[in-house]
Amino acid sequence: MNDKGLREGNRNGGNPHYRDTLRRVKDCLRPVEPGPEFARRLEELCESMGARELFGNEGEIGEEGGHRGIIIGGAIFSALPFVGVAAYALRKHLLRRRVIPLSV
Amino acid sequence: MSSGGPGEKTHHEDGALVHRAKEEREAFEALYVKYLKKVFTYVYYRVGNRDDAEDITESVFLHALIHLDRYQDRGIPFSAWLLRIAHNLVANWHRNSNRRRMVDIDSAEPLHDTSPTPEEVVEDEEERREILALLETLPEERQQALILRYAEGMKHKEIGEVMGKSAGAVKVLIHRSLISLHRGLSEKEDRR
Repeated sequence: MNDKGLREGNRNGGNPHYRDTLRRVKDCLRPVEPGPEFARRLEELCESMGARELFGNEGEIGEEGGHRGIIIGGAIFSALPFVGVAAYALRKHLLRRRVIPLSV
Repeated sequence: MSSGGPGEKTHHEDGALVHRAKEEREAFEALYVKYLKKVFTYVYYRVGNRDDAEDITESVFLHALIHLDRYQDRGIPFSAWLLRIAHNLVANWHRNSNRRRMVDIDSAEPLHDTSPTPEEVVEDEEERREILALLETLPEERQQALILRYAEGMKHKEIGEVMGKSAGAVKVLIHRSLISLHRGLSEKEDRR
């Protein structure tokens, strides 16, 4: 990039060099400090907002969790009769296959 | 990816902080302290005055705080996420107000104390205004790339994460932006 810049700068004769442009841009674009008053005000605002918003989110999460619990509970409860039927069938099956030792 | 460089380390640190910030606000304060200057610098150079830069920076952090749950650590660093919010809010600001070409570069205050002679101070400020005025004439994307590169000191890869481009594309974009500025300066010199 620099070589290309050099060539470009040379073509321009007395005009600012490409590398000079780069230096000027770097000099110009320096990090800017926000005012201390503004920084403090924003920090306080974030603090107050943060507490409320995060609390709100936790509440939402809790609510969502509650809904999920109801759905899972409902599913288990609905499946209970089938579990009962399955247990009954299994018992019958096992009883039928049970080998009763006969006395010799 | 697994280079484990300083950027990678910061990414992991930020990921942990964001995770904590979703539960404790103190962790968000740590993120705020870490990135306030970065966000403010970016916004300042995009809008050109402190008042609007402060308003937009405030919005950026409040927006981030409110929507923190939306941030998912999927390879995009938190700083890039913040700068994307800043970029969108600045774009809204330019769209909503018709101030795009009325940024008061003339009233831009010096960024640092300059103890040299008054003539040198005037010359430096003149030069700075000239560059800022030229920067204003560049397309939005080029302004963004130059500010992130030189004011924020970000690497091409990091800028790519903010802009959704590859490091190579960012490098080309910055090079072209510098060429444009160089041409602008040369034309000004020619007219003198």
